[in-house]
Amino acid sequence: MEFTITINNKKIKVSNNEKILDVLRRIGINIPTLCNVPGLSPTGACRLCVVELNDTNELVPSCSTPVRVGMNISTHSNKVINARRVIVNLLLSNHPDNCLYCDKRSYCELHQIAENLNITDRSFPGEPKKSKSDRSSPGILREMSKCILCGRCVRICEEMLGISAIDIVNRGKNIEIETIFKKGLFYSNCIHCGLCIKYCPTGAIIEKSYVQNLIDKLNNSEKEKVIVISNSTIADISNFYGIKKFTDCRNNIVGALKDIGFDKVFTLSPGNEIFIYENAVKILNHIKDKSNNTLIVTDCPAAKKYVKSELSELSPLLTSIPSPQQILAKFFKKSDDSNVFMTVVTPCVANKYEAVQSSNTTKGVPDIDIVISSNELLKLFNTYGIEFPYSRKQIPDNPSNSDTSAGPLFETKGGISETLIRELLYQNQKSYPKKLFEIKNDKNFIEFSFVLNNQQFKIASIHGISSLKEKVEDILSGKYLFVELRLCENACIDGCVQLRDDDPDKFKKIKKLILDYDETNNSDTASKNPFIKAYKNNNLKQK
Amino acid sequence: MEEFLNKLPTSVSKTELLRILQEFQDKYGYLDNDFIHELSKKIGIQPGKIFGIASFYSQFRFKPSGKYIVNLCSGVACHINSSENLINVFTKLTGLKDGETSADGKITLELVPCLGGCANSPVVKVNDKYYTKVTKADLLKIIQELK
Ligand code: SF4
Ligand code: SF4
Ligand code: FES
Ligand code: FES
Repeated sequence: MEFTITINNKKIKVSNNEKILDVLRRIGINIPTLCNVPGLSPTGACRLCVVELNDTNELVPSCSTPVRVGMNISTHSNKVINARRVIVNLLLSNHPDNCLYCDKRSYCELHQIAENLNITDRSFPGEPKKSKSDRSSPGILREMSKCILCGRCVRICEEMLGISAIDIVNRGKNIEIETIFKKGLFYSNCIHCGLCIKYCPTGAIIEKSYVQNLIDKLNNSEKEKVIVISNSTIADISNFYGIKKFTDCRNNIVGALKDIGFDKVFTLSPGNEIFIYENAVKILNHIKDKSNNTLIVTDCPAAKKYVKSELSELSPLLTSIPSPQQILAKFFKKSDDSNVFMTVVTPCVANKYEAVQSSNTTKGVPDIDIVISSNELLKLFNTYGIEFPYSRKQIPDNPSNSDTSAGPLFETKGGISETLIRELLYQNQKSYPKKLFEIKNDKNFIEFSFVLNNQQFKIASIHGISSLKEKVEDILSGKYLFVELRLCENACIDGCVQLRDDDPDKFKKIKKLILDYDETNNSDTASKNPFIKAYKNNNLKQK
Repeated sequence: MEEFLNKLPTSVSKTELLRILQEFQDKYGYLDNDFIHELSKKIGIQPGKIFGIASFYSQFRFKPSGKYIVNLCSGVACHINSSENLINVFTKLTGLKDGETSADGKITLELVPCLGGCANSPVVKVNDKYYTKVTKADLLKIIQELK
């Protein structure tokens, strides 16, 4: 049913299942919110989104109040603004106020809201909360003195993921966000996906930063300094600085990193290509053996951890090829006493967790010495005063100098399927159509059929935990040859620690940059990189 | 514990969950890590969530308790009748703070928000036994008896 209501003296058409906040957002009226997360059920906890109902002068939270016939609303009346100011003042009354040293800084929503409401003084004197932090996770830092108990992280972890690694514990003035037995994220069932970092409005949950450690090493280590940059990072920086061509930005970054002091700079592509190649071999053998199981292909450490601990019936189906980062780590650090100091730049927090898993360490030391995020790479550039486009361009070192476009494509949504099917067809019959399936399709679940050796196969591309949960039966029944699985709904290019940006459509632009690169490139499947050929021959010799 | 879990249904409401937790604690003394994880598998509620729900209620314990659980009341009525002094004395004599258990496993101190005996405050409870209008001397005696 549709009807009209009055908002700030204007008649607005609404439909009866809308919440007031939905309408305000739709017509471009900006009001502050803290506890609300689009897509999740509203809790009405923070009350910052209040609006005034003019007939009764009542204040109601717009995020959880549905529109009603005859409503007459003011969104910025004096009463409303004063109420919001009181709420924010209360939230700030015991805030630690060490904002200058907080990683969130200008991106803090609380800070922004306080600024917009002209709050310049502490009006309710309170005891600033004492620092209490959880540093157990290698990628995530929780500093609970900065928590305003909005509950976003708890609801993301519960409603979006079904994990509940963190919850609201205790009550009254002891209430806090905690992990089971308060032991810390590392000792809980947290999958280190980092979504809570993305959603926390304050500096209470942030990524653990390793930039300064990296800078210290750059200046003090005698080892050969090697850095591997994910293609998602390159594309993100490219978009950030408005550089139109993926390869231009890539070469700019390589030049800049060499100037900073890295001896060798690589893209993640060779790792992606080996990953694709190895999985293709596995799948072709799987077909030869006439196995009917569905294989699960994923490079996502968070997805792997989730499958192993929450859907253990699926875990024998994982192809268990190491992730591209780890493949390269083994490649660059052939011997135990390797003289290589290796850094990886990634859009993903879970890679920091993956790097410390015992299978990825040698004598207790992680094979990848330091993992930093795209965000941290930008900080590194800022520290050295580097801006893009950069004056020096260089191509990445061998084997990244002969990258195929399958490397970057792999990191996009549907990219595992697209690049893997290309490679299967290429290995089998040397030819394949350029665009296999609607990779531009943004759905979290896509089914696709293709023909290999006159046999028809079905595959599925699955993103996000809720789509995975819906398909468990199908996967167990062996309906698909393989499924692509990633936990982030827009795949790695939209990872939680990409550059901070308010643009919700950013990932589309990043994807376009990569698709453009792929379209104009003939070297577009893993095996076309001469390095893969060498790798293949080497592997055969060893066997 | 297996036996305990076997009896349970596979899906439970929140009130039932609280009853189950209470029953387990009565039987085994506290809610331990293994139990919460096994219970989670059985009823399909994540362990972190069970912990969150349980932690809301002060009666649940997550650590083994001593033979004697000493409840000192920190409620308003008791506070007015200087329960804080009692708490300080107790901590001085036993070295225990809220939630801690003595090394010999005998005494656990738990502060509670109200013991329901405000008229005769301050109130102290040891296992199921109540002591009312407790003075410092009374408390010393109670501790002596426990040791
Ligand atoms: S990283 Fe992911 S799984 Fe871990 S607490 Fe945050 S949202 Fe939950
Ligand atoms: S940690 Fe952040 S997201 Fe979670 S409740 Fe606190 S302020 Fe909100
Ligand atoms: S955003 Fe509506 S109550 Fe918090
Ligand atoms: S306040 Fe102590 S018994 Fe009620």
